[in-house]
Amino acid sequence: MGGGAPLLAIALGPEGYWWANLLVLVSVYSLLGLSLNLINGYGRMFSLGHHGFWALGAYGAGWLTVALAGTLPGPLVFVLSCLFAMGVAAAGGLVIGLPCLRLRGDYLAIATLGFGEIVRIAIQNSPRELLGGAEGLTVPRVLMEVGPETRAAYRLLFVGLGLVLVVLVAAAIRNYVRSARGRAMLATAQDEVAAGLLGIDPTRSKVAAFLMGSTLAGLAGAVYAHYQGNITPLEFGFMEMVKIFLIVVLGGLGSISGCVLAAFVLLFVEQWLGRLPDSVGWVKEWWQVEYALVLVLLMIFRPRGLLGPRELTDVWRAWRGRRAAAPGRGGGAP
Amino acid sequence: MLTLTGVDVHYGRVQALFGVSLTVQAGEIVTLIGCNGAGKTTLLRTISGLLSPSAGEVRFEGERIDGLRADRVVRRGIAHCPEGRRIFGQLTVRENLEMGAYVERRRDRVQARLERVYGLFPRLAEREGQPGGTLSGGEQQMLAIGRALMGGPRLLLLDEPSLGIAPILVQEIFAEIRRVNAELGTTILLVEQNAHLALGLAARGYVLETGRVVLEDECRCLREDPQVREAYLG
Repeated sequence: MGGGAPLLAIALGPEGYWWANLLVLVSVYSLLGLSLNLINGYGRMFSLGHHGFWALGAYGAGWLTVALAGTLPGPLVFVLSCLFAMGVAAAGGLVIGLPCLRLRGDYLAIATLGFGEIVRIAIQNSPRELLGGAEGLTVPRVLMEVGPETRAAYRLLFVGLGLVLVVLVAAAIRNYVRSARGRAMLATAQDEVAAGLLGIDPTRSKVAAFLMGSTLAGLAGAVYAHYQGNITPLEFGFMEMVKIFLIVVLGGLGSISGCVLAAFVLLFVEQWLGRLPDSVGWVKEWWQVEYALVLVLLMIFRPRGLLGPRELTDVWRAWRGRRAAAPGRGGGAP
Repeated sequence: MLTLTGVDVHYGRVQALFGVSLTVQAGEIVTLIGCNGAGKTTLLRTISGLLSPSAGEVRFEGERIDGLRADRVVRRGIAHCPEGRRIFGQLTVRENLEMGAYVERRRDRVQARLERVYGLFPRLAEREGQPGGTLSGGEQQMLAIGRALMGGPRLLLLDEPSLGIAPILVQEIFAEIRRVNAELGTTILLVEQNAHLALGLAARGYVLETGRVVLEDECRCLREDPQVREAYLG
């Protein structure tokens, strides 16, 4: 890889470099969106603490990588840190989930929001030797050395990794939703009492959705931490939660492909705004307001998301169906 | 099969049932009639585990089931078809039915029950792939009963199956309830406001007033009872 790396950087060019970065971020946010979708979309629990699980995963992975780097082979450290991140986030999900799932609607939202902020503030005020505190934590590069010549290869590696993870997670969620337990989760979300009367344990079903969601957010955190190489608590603020939520709502509560598409659109716009000249810098500076505005408009006009629970394939089929049914040569539909 | 002895139920500090005792024999259709607020639904919810009694006991096939959670009671063989149907509007008819067999892990049994339910309610077979929410009230009631039957219950609790349904469909549904009892041998405890229908279908009945059992007899006697005629049969 060493000899080919500089060539790769040249082949990629600055444009390709920008795209590679975008795609990695898209896959991280897709994972976050998909996992929040389990909780908010399929599970219909209004959680606002996803940035907390993400941070737990990122810092969990970072901490373990710092501790293990150099003692074990790099890829092994990477895998272990991902698993550890998922474990930490899952533990967080359990701690917050068990007491909070008795709460409904707005109350659950407030409690989970509090959790997310607690995680961030706790990390910010942690001892510097442990998690880096407010200055951030440097995560050793365990997959490959990253120098000026290999940066492109590193990005491409993460593009591939992110893509594989998104596909795997999407497939797993799709299978789960179609399984008996997944259906039980959907049924519980629609009517807890009726679900209980059919032999479904509603609490278990809700906790399962919450746990899976938080675990996958932890995985997203691990990938993010390894990719960035340096993480600070500020990156896991509430505005990130808004972003993840916006992705889920844009893509449609309960739509897998919609979620990935929304992550792409949102991050593309965001990264593209970053390249705008200073003369229109206000567009960039007001992004928090703009996101909030989009969210408010969506909630008013498309409360179930742009696509709703449909998948892109459904929309495509419906569109083709309409075209096929439309009058072909001036004749009316039968 | 089912025995309630001296059951008291409270909602917070308000008492809804006062020392209710009731028995249902295997294979029977028993009805529970009474006005709004008499405690009929409360009684069913107590049996199925959505509520737990503050005094007294509920036994099913000899074993105490009071205090068990609803999802545990189902596994004992009691299906509760709740008031207002509560079907899953966004799941298809078939998915709704499959949810009803959630506790049954054997695919072949689920399939057999599915065919039986479709045999009882051919309309459901026609609407198999349709979301439950798009069915008419009567069809939703059929779906709710079918879903309850999917668990293969020995005792079926039916709460107001005639509520908000076109009269012609009510007749059909009551005929199917009779078939469920006759052909599948399912014991049925039926709660119904429409005393005419209920007393016509069931063999025995209980009259509930403000949380107490005030009358208990065979339905043909209840139909002749002057008090019942006055209060419920108009």
